[in-house]
Amino acid sequence: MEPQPLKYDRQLRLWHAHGQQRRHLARICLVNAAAVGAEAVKNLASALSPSSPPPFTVVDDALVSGAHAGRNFFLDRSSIGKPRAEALAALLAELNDEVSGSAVVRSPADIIASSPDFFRQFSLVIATELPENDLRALARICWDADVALVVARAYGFTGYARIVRREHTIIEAHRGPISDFRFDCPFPALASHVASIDHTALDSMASSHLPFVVILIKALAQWRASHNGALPANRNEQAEFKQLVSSFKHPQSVDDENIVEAVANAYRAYTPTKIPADVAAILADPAADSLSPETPDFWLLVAALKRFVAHEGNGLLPVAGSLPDMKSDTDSFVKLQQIYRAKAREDTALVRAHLDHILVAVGRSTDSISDELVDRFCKNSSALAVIRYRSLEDEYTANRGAQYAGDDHSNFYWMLRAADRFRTLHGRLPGTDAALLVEDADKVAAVVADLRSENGLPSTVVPDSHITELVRAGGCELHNIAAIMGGIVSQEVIKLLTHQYVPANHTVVFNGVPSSSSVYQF
Amino acid sequence: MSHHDWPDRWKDLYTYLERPGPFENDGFEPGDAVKDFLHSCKILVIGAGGLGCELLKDLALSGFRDIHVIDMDTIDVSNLNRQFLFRHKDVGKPKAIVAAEFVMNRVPGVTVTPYFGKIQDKDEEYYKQFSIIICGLDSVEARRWANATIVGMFDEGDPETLKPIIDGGTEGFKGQSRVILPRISACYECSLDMQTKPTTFPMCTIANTPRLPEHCIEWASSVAWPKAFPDKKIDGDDPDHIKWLLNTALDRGREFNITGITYTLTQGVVKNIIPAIASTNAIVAASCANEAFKIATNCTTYMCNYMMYVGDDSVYTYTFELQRKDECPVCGSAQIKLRIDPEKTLSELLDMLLDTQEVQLKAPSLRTAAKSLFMQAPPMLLEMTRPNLDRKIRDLVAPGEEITITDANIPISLQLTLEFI
Repeated sequence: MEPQPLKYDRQLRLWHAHGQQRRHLARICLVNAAAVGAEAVKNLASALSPSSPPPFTVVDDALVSGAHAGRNFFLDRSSIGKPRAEALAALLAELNDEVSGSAVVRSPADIIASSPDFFRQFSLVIATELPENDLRALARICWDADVALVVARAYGFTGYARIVRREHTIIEAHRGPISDFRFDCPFPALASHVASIDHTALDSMASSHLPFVVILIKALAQWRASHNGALPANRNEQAEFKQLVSSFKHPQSVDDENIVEAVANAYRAYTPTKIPADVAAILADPAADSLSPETPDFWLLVAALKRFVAHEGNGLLPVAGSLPDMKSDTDSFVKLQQIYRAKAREDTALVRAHLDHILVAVGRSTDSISDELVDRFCKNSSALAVIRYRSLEDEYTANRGAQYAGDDHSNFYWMLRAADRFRTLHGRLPGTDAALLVEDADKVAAVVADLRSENGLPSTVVPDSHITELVRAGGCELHNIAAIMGGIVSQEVIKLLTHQYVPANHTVVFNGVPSSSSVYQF
Repeated sequence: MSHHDWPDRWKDLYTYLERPGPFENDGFEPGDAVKDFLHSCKILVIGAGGLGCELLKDLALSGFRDIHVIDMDTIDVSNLNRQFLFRHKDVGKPKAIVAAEFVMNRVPGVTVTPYFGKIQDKDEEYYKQFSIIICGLDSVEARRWANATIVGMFDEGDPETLKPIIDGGTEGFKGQSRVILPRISACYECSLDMQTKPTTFPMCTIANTPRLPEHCIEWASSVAWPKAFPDKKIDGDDPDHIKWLLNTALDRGREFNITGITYTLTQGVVKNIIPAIASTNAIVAASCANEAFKIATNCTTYMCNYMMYVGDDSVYTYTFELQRKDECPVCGSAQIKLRIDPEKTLSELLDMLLDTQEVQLKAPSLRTAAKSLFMQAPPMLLEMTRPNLDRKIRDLVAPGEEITITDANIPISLQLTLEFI
């Protein structure tokens, strides 16, 4: 019962020690030391742990310019003219007394072209300032090597982040408390406990402390006995059922908080217990069928879960075993809690047994997946999530932007794509020469039309105002937008590394004028 | 160009400030004047914690050169995971001073003037000198004080007294930022009812029917501690205090068969710890600094006027216009009406007021034009007016008579009229 490391206390309360552990093992590569990337790494570095090799590596062959030093807190006046990778890695490492970073002073384009295996050593790559073709090549390398890639960008008042990962699995989505009561199908121990309570014999004091869970199980059993086993099906029946629930109030009782709770939760009693559609889809996923020693733990666990559902679970998931607080005396609550927990332990042990068979069958040792992980997996089995991202190549060759026609933020996505293409065509970003603003706007409009027609999208949807704004920005990176996007990127990276919470799928566009964002699947 | 500058230092900012654009705000004039104004604009950051560290960095790199910061706290180890201007060697030192020094060292030509103390130490004369005020606070009380003070300074005849307030806050993966233009857009007090009330447990549960580990910890801190140490307040940062509470809570847990009581949970409940991470602070602070930059330069329109950020399930922002409240005690008419049975006592009226989510009073004092009904201070007046608590409303005020409510903790005063039922 030791206090957790104080330095990390405020974040351990969000993702706990096992989440922190996964971060500690992570190695991050920052491609190009733009301010947006520096900010992202800064948010991660102050909470990384010492490891060898160092937890982050900066790859960049640029020399620090006056503008770089002006907008990036981790470059300063004395770093002007020096390699940007080294200057940034040195100042970022100062953030955490225990952590160091490394710098690779080499052109990212060169590494991408000639040493693609370089990127295999990382768990995640953050890419900034890459020209279109290099970015696409890097995305293909990461995709093939199964390394997560986050593309980040701050451009004028606009920001962009794109997550690319073949598959991301989540056990702890933290989408809120999991409620798993089994009102309509109480397991034997629960059913017999509830049946053993004669609520009509309770005095008013005890009656007002009867947990709503007991009331609802009793009421539903009564209802089904008089309705051929059916649940309350329509509005009238549901209203009638609520009246039945209310009738559990003791005539002398003044305190009816438990009855109020029972009525408020009545809908849960007549909603049949079943496997949520998202989880059913995961159970049906082919990834849980073709098992090998290389199959990720998540899918081995799903395979074990699937066997449990098909056999002992009778078509249902393991009981989660957690109860929310409710009006009750201590003994009634604790008794109920123990019954749910015991069943959860039993179910988890059965999943564990299936898992052990699977592990042996694929030639892995049974202790290669911990009981702790199996516990968490079973407890959260109703909230499992799998995201399969679209590859960047698919996005760039068969864009799904048609579904966002008329959407304002999506226009900025096309603006940023156009800026990249403009750079490839003209060797500079639009608006960098104050004398050519009008000409550049015309060229950008033509590029947007090209980009969209390459993807079979109707051409003229981007308003002139957006094009004028893109040209006004002249390729500048404002520190605040870099910091907002760096913040968003680091938040997404944390979710990707810890496999907790739910990352965006797949592109976040932020517009710093109204200060709002949207998520797209282009 | 100041002697601290180097070629292209402000290239990115100046690109925007030298060009007109489709989203510029009314009154934007591209050119040198707006650059000079930005560089000389005096801006105050309230709070040098998670948001404050980010804000100082963001503002310094946005061209602000005259930045002031207030914070009453010293640096704690648990700050180091996100308050990136602080190191282990700084633990125990004042946040405002360490943060100011760090930023001045890194960003030449910027002056950050720290004040290590409470916001309440300063008066209108002090707050008057700033063009923009940014709050990066973690307490509702301090925000209400700052909001009421700054909104209260606005004099319609003198546009100089209009001080935009930018406010940010975070909790875990969620946060919000907002722009308050006093008496033009909703102020902090207008939206008090949006605050989620902190979790509290009913006393009867704590005392008689504990069910959760939290109930046992609450019992240890609110029942057992005052009994054992009547003269000592709990210090949530003192490991000995937390260990005592933990052991007491564990004993109670054993008595009632309640499990799951840990050191971390004990400290979380006792200190009401809100989880905090670097990334969310970075997002919210930068969004506040972005608004400050826009307000100082008019180079684009501002946020209108509240952004909610939710990052735990995908990335979601909701930006909307919060409406002013006519009856707001700070920026509105400050008139509230209550319907009450005149047979009720003054004490019951006080309870009703304390329960009103829109005003959230802490220690209200009540008086009519003719007499004091109940005054919390000074002690002599408290003694004199205490007997009124048990008297009926009917015997104290006439229907429709104006009652002025003040609260020692918040610089507001509002008018209450009662309708008898």
